[in-house]
Amino acid sequence: MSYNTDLQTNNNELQTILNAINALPEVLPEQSKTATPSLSSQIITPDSGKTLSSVQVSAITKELLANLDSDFIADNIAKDVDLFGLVGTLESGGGTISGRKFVSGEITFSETPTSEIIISHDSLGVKSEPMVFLSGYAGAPSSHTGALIIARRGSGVYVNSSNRFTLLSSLSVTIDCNDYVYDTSFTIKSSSATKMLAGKTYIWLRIER
Amino acid sequence: MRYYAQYNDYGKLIAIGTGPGGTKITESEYNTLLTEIREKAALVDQLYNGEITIDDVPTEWQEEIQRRVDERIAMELEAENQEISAEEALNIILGGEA
Repeated sequence: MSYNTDLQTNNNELQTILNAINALPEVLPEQSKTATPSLSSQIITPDSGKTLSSVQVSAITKELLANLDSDFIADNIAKDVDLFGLVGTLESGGGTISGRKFVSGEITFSETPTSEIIISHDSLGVKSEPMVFLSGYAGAPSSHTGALIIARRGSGVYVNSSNRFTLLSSLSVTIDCNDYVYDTSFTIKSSSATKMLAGKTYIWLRIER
Repeated sequence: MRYYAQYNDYGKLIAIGTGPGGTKITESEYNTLLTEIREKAALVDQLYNGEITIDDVPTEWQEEIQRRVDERIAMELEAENQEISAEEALNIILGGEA
């Protein structure tokens, strides 16, 4: 009798264990996934009926960044600065003269301008006044139309058709740069721009005051 | 060095330069445009000064070069007119000597 009772008890316990085993969730097959960094957050989930064993995230490289943002190019990075393996080549045409910051550039007009000219540049972050010079010019131009050869805010030098130099002090808007501080452009007003020669290269300069 | 070309609203080339602004171009493109701009400016000077005729100008540039010379002549005439004083103008109107 006791033997039969023990067997029954064992059977019940075994059945309980079997039921518990049967109630366990099914073991899903594993899978691996890869992910590439993007400009927005990503949630990596397993496919239906599978479980994730690992997620491999690609490294951030210059090629990846270039794909994410087309502005990520050497020309937009300061010269010799290395960002993620991309070395910049941008030379902004600026620097310091006797400790004063400056920016500069060149401009060559295809034809004499018929209206004002806006010249953009990097911000100096300090006060400055723009100046414009006719490049590599020692004497009066052969052109009979005259030329603006030097200009700064409020004044300039003009060579007239008789090859005589004239001070453009009367042109109070020779160069207008509005508020200098943090300005990233200046305007050569129409009254001066229309006196600039086609085919000649002018150098512009803004230097910290 | 950054090179750029600046165009007007109609897509006509206004200027080329170095530094920020405009539409970025390569150094080679910059040099090509600079050469063309200077050649055209020289042709305008030569045609204006009578050193060449319009037939000496490359066919594809003739219209532009002639227009620019005409504009220069008009500007010179305007400048000359501006040099006449009010008294001189009045004298001419009244039939006196210029």
